[in-house]
Amino acid sequence: MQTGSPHEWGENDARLVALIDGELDDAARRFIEARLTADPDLRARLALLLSGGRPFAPAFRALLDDAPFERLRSSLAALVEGHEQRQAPVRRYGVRARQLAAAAIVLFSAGLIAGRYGPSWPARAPEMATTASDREEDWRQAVAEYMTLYTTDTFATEPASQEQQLAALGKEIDLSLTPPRVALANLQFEGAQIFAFQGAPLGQLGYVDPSTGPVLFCIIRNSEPDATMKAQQLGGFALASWARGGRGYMLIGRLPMDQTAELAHSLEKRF
Amino acid sequence: MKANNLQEVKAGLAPNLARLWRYGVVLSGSRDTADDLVQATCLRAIERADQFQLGTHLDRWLFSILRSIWLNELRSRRVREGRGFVDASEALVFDGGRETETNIFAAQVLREVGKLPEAQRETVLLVYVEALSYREAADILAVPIGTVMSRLAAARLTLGRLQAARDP
Repeated sequence: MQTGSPHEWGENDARLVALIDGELDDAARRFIEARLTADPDLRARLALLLSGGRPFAPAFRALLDDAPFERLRSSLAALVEGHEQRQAPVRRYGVRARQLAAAAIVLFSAGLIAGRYGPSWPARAPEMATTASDREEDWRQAVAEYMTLYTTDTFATEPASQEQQLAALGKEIDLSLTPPRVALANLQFEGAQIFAFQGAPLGQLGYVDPSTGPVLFCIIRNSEPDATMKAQQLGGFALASWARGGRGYMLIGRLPMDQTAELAHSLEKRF
Repeated sequence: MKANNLQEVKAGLAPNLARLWRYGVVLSGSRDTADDLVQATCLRAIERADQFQLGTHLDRWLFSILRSIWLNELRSRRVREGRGFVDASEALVFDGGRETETNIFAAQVLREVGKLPEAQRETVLLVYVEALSYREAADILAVPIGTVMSRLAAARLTLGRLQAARDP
């Protein structure tokens, strides 16, 4: 019969198992071996624990052979291929834009995987099929992902003038962009880049806030339906977005939520 | 994303597929769920390759990812649906086409382990099958070493009593 409290037996069992598995240091091993010599109950307990051993490793090896290896490997190959394709840069203009796009695409991929396949996983679930509104959500998610790359230095060397950049970007998204139209209170305009998201031109205006760093104003010409402004936190950023006239707009940064919303409202009046 | 990490993670996934699948079966008690778990683990490993520490064991990192997906996404969904308890004994038994004496014995071991509670099953797998030290298993399971010891003791007590009932 066991003596002592269940708690003591639990501790004894744990030590005995560690003894069996060779996980005790010398001092602990000598201590428990001395107790075993003196305590027949403890010896009986050791015998019981020993008889609970099995040839676990060989038994489980058989299960490895049952793994659907070919299926798993072809899924993996498709996954890797998809990931590599999404890493191909989308270039519209400019060397810096190309570099940024390349960096962005890496994170786009991460964003797309997380945003599209992650929550909808397992992918077979029919109710998780990608809908139009999912796609609209995706581009915001993707920008939130690649924005993690940006620092104040990202904008350090822009070759073209602000007017030239805005004109080129405006042409892509079919809007007339001028410095006053895109100015934001207390933020320094730093440059414009053009990306593409699922074939839709995605323009990005970069700003720097002296205390919180980069802020992005993004415009995508993707024919999404009009939507009133929505403010939210996404991936550690404050984000305000709306849609009008077949274009989606978003302001994103590490600014406080209320300041983000205020700036977004000032932009909304101009677009 | 660090290119070397991504390369190493991508290259290291294929050799670990079967072991990941086995861990998935042990956790979920379902071969289909194990397929899904492996796919999701691969996806997340590629996505988060920059978090992998080069020079450390990729398999253990992958185990941690698979386990976290199971706990945070699949099992919690199953619990919400009122199917919290998992009996893995059926899923663990391998293809019975080879009914040799050795296979019958192996199948019995798997069935017995499959009836243990999930926490004990996975600790048995990590320590006795994957041959991890208590410390390494504790790291993957995110528990103190003492918990690893008490789970193994509980598993051995159950299996020891089964043995005693068979050999009175």
